[in-house]
Amino acid sequence: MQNPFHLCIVDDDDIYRFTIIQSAKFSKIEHMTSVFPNGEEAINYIKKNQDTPDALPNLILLDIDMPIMDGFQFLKAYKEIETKLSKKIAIYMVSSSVDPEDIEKAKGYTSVIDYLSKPLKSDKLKAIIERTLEG
Amino acid sequence: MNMKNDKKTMDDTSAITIRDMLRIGTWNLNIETGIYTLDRVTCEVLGIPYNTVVKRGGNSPYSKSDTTASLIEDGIKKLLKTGKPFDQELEFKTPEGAVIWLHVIATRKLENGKCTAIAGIVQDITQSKQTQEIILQDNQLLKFAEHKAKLGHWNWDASSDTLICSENMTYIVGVPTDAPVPLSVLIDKVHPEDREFVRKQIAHNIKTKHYHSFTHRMVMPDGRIRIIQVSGDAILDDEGNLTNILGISQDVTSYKTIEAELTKKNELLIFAEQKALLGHWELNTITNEVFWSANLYYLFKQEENIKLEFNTYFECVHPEDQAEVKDHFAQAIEQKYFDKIIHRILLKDGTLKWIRLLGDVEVDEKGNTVKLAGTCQDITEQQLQEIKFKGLVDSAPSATIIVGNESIIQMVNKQGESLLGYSSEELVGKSIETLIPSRFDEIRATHREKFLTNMEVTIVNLGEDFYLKHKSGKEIPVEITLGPLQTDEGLIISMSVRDLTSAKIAEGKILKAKEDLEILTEELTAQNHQLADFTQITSHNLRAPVSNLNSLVEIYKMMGSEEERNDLFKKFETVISHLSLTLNTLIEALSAKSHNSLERSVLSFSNKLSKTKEIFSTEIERTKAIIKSDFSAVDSIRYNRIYMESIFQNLIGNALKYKSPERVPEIEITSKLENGKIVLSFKDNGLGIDLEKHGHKIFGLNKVFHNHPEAKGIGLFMTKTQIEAMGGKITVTSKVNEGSTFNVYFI
Repeated sequence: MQNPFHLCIVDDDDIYRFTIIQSAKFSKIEHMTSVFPNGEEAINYIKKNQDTPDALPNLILLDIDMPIMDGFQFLKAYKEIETKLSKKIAIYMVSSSVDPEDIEKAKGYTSVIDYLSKPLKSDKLKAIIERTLEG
Repeated sequence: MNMKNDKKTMDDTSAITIRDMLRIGTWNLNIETGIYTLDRVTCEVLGIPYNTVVKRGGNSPYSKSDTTASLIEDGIKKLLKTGKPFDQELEFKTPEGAVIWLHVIATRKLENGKCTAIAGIVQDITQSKQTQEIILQDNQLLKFAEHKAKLGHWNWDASSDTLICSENMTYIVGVPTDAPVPLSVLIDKVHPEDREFVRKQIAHNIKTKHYHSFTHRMVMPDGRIRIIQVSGDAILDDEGNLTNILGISQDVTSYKTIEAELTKKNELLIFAEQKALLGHWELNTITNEVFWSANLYYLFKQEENIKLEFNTYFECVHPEDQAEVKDHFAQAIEQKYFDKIIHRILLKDGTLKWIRLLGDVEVDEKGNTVKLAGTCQDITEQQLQEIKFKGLVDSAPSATIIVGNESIIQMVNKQGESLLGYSSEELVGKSIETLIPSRFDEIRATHREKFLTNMEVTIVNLGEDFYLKHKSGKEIPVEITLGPLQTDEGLIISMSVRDLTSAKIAEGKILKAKEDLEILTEELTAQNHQLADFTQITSHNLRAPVSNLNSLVEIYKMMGSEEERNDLFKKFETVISHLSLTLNTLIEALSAKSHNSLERSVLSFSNKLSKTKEIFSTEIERTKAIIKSDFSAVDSIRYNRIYMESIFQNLIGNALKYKSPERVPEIEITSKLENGKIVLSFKDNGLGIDLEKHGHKIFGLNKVFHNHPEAKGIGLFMTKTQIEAMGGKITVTSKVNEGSTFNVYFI
């Protein structure tokens, strides 16, 4: 594998980010991690690297509730640039919200593969990474 | 009668004719010379001197009409030509001017086949001609009269039982003119229902040999029914046997009709008099003489011709009404005005009647009352009707007022009395306006006009609540239904009054209940919002740290080294302290929301501002912030002290915290009144918030919109919670990099 698996975490909660990074480590799958505390920083990064497949993540774990730009605002912005991207990115929404409205809304975005509730257990994370790797 | 006349005339005529027949004159005319030779008699007849020479075609002392002249000329020419004897009755006028009629007969004399002369005789027929004229005239008159009166005469012959009828009668009856008609044929012409009657009448007349007139109906050929009167004379022979009946049949239909009409009118008159039960009376107040019309005797069941006096009347007055009647008369005499009075009379046979007296007062030249006169009418029936009507009105389920001319109250029922607090006596005779508050005058005018035009049963709808005035002055909410009734005495309006007091109370209750429900709905909506807030809080602010704890525990189990685990404990501490803060905030918010009856005191905005400035004094000094205020519109408010301080501290604190790094912070706090509610504004020139992005969660818990190290997202959530707990609201307007304005709306 030329490029390791690129996991991207978009979440303002540093504890959560810490737990995901730890869980990813436990999966024993070779990977790299990028972290953004809000949607704005994440979308800016993607826009900047839209023509550089190597820099783009394979998987984004997207939180809903974030300052500056929340998960849905990110998805809206992402939808506009999705076709220009040189790489297909798997997006999972991961939130502590159990509001059915949020879940419905998330599933309304074609770019979102699934909606997952926090906490995201290690084995679940491993399964997602593996599934993404398989394509 | 005519036949007798004819006979007499005939006798007279014959006598004269025979005498005159002796005076026949002779004459002849010489054709060649044209000279008439007249004998003495002829000259006498013509009233001319003997030997008068008369020339054919020339002037003569006597004159003749044009008709006579042409008859002579034509007759002679014809005679000369054809030899047809001349025979004419001719009219002449004597020189003295007397009109004479001459019968002239002439023949020609032929000599050698040539006519040389005409010889003739002349006879004076003036007398007979005149008689003839008279007869002719009489006949014509008779026919005319018969025709006019539809009169026919007839002669019944006993031996053949047939009749000879006059021309007019045959025409009327429709039988042959010139032949005797059997009686049975004539009877067949009589109206079928009258035939038996006619047969009997005729049989009776024949039997008694005396003709009694009778009438019968007859159906005319055109179908009309006429009434025929038949009268006649029975003619007996020397032995007393009936030989003939001479009779007249006359069409008396028009008479009968008039007679019938007269009878009917008379009956109607009598009927009307009886029906009206009216009589008139006079009382001479000086002599005490009394006059009653015939009908009054009848009404009072008194014998006619009894001696009348005031007491005759007064004794009939019902004992209970006597005082009133006595007063009424005394008053009339004194005031010289006799008002109408209705009272009862009780007759000796126990009959009770209601009497209405109308009267006039007659005064002498000194102005003293001398006579009372008027009418007296038995109105028992009307009165009973009225009592019945009043009974009906009284028993009406709702208050009813009967209003007559000029809005005068005529009747009020029991319900009306108790609703309005007046007795019937107090209201009857008064204007209905007594009961209506004057503020409705204007609006009622158009309504009244409309009602009087349409004249239909109408529920009064003035477009606002309507009231009637109770005797106490209190106003009663009512619904009024008007019913018009046109009577002889003018327009009567029945007003049915429905008391809406209880309806109003019920309405008030319903309105109150509705208001209560609205408040409850508002509260529920608010609680719903709060519930939504809490859902948000539980999912984002509680679930998040809890899920972090779960994840940390999982990781803790997987971690091998002690060092890593120590690091992990720091994470635990962070999450737990975060969770504690969130829980504490929530508890605070929950307690705010559950304390609707928070303690309030009068607070001053300027006072709170200076206290807040003290708290932030270090920060203000450091940032050189300028804080301006204007509480001139309103400075004091009844509010919870802690919450008010919290509002000031949070909003000013935020303004300082999120100041623009490029500008000196300027904060402006003002108060104003909007629709009677106090509004407090906090305006800054800070970073501002992108409301399009964050507007929906600006007051949420743990919401931060700045990448600011101190942003915790608790302040605005608590401020909003507290303001709402006090029944107010908070709004925000903001522009990124220009500043924000928070408006607090107090109740």
